[in-house]
Amino acid sequence: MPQKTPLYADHLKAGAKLVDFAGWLMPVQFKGIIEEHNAVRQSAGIFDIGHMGQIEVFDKAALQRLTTNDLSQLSEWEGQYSFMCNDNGAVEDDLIIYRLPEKFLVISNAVNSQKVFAIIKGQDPKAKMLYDKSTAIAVQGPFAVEQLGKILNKDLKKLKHRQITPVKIFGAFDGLASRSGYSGEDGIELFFDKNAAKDLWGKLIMERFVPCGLGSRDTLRIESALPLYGHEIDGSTTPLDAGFERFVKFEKGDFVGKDALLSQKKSGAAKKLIGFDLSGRAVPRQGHEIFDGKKKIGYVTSGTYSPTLKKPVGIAYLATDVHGKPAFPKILIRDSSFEISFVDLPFYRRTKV
Amino acid sequence: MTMFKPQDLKFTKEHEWISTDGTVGISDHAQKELGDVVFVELPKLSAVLKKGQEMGVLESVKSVSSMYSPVDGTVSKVNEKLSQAPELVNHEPYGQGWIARLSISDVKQLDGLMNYSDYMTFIGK
Repeated sequence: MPQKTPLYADHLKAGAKLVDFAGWLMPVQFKGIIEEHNAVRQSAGIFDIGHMGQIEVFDKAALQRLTTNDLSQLSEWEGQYSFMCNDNGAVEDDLIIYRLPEKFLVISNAVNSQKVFAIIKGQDPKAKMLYDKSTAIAVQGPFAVEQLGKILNKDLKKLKHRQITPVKIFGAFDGLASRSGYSGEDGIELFFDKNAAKDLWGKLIMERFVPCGLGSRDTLRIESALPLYGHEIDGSTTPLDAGFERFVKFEKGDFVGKDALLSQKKSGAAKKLIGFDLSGRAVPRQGHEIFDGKKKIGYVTSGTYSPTLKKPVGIAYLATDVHGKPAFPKILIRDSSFEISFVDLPFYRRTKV
Repeated sequence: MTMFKPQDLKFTKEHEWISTDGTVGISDHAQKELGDVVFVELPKLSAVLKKGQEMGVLESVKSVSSMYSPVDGTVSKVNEKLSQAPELVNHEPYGQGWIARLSISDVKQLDGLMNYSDYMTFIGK
């Protein structure tokens, strides 16, 4: 039986198309993926992210051992991107960890949240999963921070990237607002008392924030080359494969996966993540293979039609033993071969004002 | 291109529709399930198709879907507009979003397809 966020009934009533995502019934789209995508790029959209794990952790040393980034570099009311790896250095999950007074708040992918919670709980018996009392909404887009600030009566523009601050919703419900997101736009992620969820979502829609589903969440994060568990990273990938060595702090002391990652750092990663686009009339999808002549040199982890660039784009792993750049790389889509061009990631970068 | 009334059309289990003049498209239900269509691969003119043979491919942002010929026939016309404006499939599935026209080999094959109310039952509406 799939789980439901506090907004499930509202999504149903709004006519959203719902799908089972990682064991949660979530909206994939309301009006249409392209319309929702453009709303986030041009004004402000809202996402129900109540499926994401929110885990309170109290034992700093345990969390430091379980994750690859360095918690000692984190000030109170700040967040950092980090990985939880296994002994082989492979990714169990990618996380945002916020340091709050006396505790940490760990945000995990829905698909991994129970696994991550079990691993943390094994080291910190006081750790708590917050699904019972807390939910989350992401507010994303160039107008998101200022407009949400008005509704919450708080100047959220003062927050720096990945800073988090306490807020009162409708002056009554406790929450935390973080300047963060998964769209490549400016925005806020709100973690808050689930009793306020329906009223806040309704208020945001009344204030003309555009409700967005997982479909546009995916196209937005692909354009911005943000990794997704099960695509760019998974149980067979290390943070180094995905090009995220900057979030692995070897000098911080012992942590799970350190030895394997150190030895991989010495020998070099066997694959690397690259971006490509194509002028052909086909859309790359996860699993499609990339060739140089007859030789298979890589595979697609994510692909879509980019609503911003108005062309198909993809992210792929290429074998690092491919010497130089292949002259005529091709992708096989539905038994047809299409020429691709390698391009720098991300495909889209917002212009900061 | 005038709009067809879905009540005048025949439907397949793969969610194509066909009119008595051989015009073929996908149903409103199908376009909603697909979401924003971004590319349409049209059949080739004069292609001879068997009932159930692949006649085109629709790529949406989220997924890809083949469409199949509802009857035996020869492709007599394709909707070139869809190359530039694939979103017509979403906006007007029974009008400007038509895919191709077949010259139908055996009109009796139409009798084997669902009428609109049968199709509505089929998709659970």
